[in-house]
Amino acid sequence: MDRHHNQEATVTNNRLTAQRLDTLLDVLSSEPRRMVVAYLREHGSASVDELTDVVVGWSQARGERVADDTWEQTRTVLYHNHLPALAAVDLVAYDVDEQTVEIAPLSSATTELLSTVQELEHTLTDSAN
Amino acid sequence: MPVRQLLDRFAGSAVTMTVYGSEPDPDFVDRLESQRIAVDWQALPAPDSESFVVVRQAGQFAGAVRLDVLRGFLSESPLQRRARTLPDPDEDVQLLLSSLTNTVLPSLERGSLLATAHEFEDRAYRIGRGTLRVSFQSLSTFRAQVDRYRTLAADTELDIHIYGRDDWDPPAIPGVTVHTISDDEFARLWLLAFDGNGNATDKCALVAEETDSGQYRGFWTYDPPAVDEILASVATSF
Repeated sequence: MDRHHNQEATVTNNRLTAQRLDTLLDVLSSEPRRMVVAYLREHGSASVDELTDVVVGWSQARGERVADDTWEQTRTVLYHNHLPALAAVDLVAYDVDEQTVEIAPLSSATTELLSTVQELEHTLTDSAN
Repeated sequence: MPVRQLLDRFAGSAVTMTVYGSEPDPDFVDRLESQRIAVDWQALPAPDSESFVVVRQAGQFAGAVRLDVLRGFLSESPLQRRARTLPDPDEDVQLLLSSLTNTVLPSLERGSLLATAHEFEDRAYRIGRGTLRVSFQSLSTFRAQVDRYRTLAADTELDIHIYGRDDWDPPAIPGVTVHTISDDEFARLWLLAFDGNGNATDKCALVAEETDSGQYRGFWTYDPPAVDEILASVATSF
């Protein structure tokens, strides 16, 4: 596979460049993507179907209204939008043939950013309850 | 009795659940397995309040419900709803009921069936027309529901039929016809069926049989032919 230059490799001295920070914050400005990343950090890898279950169920548990055709729609959007977007910035590796996704090797600076985002999300949902 | 055969017909459906939660909960898994549901647990990096359950029927996604909602529904004494008067729809319970449709659960508590019945009565209330047939086993069981059915009959144009063994004289309520039953087999059944006023998407029914342990083996359905079959069976039995 002809991989593009791994952007995680541009993280030097364990610090995110301003450009890399922009890229990560941009790609994470979407709740389903944050759910996928959080779940994959916990589990390492998952199938696209499992990630669809997680995004649908988790969204519902957070009180979002869910329509009958949500599962198929969510799977389509994950497959064509969210997963390619996360793969393009090297947060996940996406195996289209096997329909599986795994978390990419991450620099400690990126790991720290993801942990902070996750903690903020918990604080938000806690205060909403 | 045909209604009873329906229970056997739906008994084979394969339901699996995956619990996504922060901590495993062996007691709850036992409870699900006692309903013959195959259960799997996956860690979710989230607060407890966000735990949820994904239901699959024959491998297909059937729905997702909050863990606390499912736990409450299947508990020995399901949380009593804040309001007993109509209308009082509970969207969480509606999602749960649609996830577990056409699934025979072998050891349901009375409270779970009552919560299901309330959602279906609420649906009939909202549609406001059509036929609702309810068998309470014994008419004395209907006593606690009389006020609710008085509202249901007064606020709608529903044609309501109540069935039960003759162990109590219900008050006369306009719009409600009471039928006494003597068939022992039928008297073991808790049944509610609404014809959706002829609209297929509004039909719903609940059928449950009391077991020797005092629990119920039952299922509910939104499947129009099944609901029609249940309604016809009740109407022709008396």
